[in-house]
Amino acid sequence: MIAYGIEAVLGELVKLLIFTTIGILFNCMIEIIVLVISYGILRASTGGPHCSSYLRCLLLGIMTFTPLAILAARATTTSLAIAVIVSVLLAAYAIFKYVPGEWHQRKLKKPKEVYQNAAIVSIIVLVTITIMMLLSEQQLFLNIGLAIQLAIIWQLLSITPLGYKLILMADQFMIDFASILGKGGANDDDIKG
Amino acid sequence: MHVITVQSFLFQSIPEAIVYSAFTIALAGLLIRQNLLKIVFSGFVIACITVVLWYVELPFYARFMLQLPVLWTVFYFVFRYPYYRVMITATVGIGILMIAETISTELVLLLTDITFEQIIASNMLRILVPSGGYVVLVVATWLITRSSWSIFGRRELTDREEYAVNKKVDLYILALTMQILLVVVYNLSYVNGFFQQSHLLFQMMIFSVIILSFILLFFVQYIIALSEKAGELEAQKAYIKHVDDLFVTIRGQRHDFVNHVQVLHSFAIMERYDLLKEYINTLTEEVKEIGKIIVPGNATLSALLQTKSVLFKTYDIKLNVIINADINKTNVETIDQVKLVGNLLDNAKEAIEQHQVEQDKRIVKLSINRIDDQIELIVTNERPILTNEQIQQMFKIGHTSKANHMGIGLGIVKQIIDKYKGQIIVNSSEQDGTVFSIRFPIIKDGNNSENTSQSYSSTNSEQFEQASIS
Repeated sequence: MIAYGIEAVLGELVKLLIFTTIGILFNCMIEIIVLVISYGILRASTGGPHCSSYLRCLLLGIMTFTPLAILAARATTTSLAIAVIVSVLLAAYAIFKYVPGEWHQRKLKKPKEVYQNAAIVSIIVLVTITIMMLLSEQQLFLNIGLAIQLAIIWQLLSITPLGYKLILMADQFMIDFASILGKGGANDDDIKG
Repeated sequence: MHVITVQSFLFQSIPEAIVYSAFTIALAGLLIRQNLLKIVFSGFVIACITVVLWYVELPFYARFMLQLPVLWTVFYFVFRYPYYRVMITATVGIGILMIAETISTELVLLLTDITFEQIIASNMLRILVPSGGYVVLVVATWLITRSSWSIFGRRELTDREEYAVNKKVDLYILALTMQILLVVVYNLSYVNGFFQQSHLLFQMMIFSVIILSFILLFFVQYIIALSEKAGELEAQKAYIKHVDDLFVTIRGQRHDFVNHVQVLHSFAIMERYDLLKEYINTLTEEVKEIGKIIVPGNATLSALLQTKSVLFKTYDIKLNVIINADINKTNVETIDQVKLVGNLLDNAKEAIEQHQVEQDKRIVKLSINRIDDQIELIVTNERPILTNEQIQQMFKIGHTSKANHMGIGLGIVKQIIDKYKGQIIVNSSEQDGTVFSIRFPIIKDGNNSENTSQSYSSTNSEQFEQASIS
């Protein structure tokens, strides 16, 4: 049990390290950290699909967060305003329809409404912060705001049926890719998504 | 350019949008207490969109036009009640909010020395001044919730089918509210200087009002048709009630049957054949009574006459019915037949009651006969006798010679006669009593139909007796 715990913490640390490195490499460190944190906060209440292994999860994370963070680093007031409109409309649509996003390996412990209310509260907090950033009209704040919004949009998209399909496809693609390289199939590193 | 600050966003935009959201939900008939978090969330989303729209580089009129559909969509996503209703309630809500806010701001400008520029410049004033508007909304929401009122008449409509039925009416309400809103906004914009912002928007508003007027004109026809249908429905309900009454009478007789058999059984055991005979005689009379009044091929009229016959008995009035012709040969519709005969009989009964006619004269006769190419319907009551003046006055709607009568019965009779181009003659004499004679032209005449209907009548009558005995 302790071993599992240490493994999980280590896993997360590795993830954070990799994301920070990518951030430094692409000159978008703050954006990528904000993105990952906002994504994590929202994901805790909304749930959603997982990859079939830790490595694939990490790979997909790098593949999605890097372009999003680069995009966030080039924020303007107009792009942030449009991102806010898209994210709140998506939230209004998705929260009551798809939250909690179920995953066959995990069972929901609380009633549906608890997850929905938690998602509402996290969206309100995250979007309020974004609007404040927008009203400040400073470049760094705009970047952070856009990073939050992109995280919300990506997380909410992932709990829609389309998101499930996309993640499943990406997962399958990575399995196929790994087997081409001869590094084993679906069963060898099935630890955590 | 930007009039929004963090303070005004937090303390004005968000509370205002939440209040607006609550008001809209109350208008739709949803319960506020059950949807509290949803209301806060939708209000927040609306506030965010309204604020960030300032940063999207769109022409003024496009931004203005975009706001309403966005509001509708947010409400639809969050509360999931039919889109038509969302459109109506959100539009009405925003209209009332705009009016209330403008009045509140203009009142402050009028009553105090504060200028519009000062309001824009000061964060505090910008939050406080329009707040009068949403205080009105809060009070309105509270009143609506308290009285369980909703714009659609009822609380908590969750039935999908009911929504579908009311779709057209909803659309009518929507067109009407949009029109009122546009006219109000048009007028208000002269007060708050809004009209200087975009002339194109103004042209669009006027054009929309014209289109909405045409839509409303189209709907007026639909509503007239609807009210006609409502009238027909009332008549149908009356008809069904008559049929129901008949069934109650028959069921009552069946119910008594066991008791009758027991009495007969007792008489037979006691060997009281005289009493047995007498009892059977009365019983047969009663059974005949129910099967007696059968109008050939006209179940509706049969039901009506049956009910009236039972009713007249309770008033100690005798109803004699003689049917020698089929009223269906005229083009008088069943519903109107019921109205005509029903009103004439009621009128006769009430006249007798009113004048407290003595026992042996409490008789009403109804006969339907064929005279050449006309069907004649005669209703006679022996008493009271009417004067010529009374006869002339009686068909005016609203006229009545009776204390507790609405005075519309004979008016309806006259309307039906006019509708089917019939004639009516009323005579009143000591010898014949008061006679209402109504004639309608025969339209549908078939060969031997008289005989057919007669035989149908007797078969029917037999079945009837069997049904009530067995």
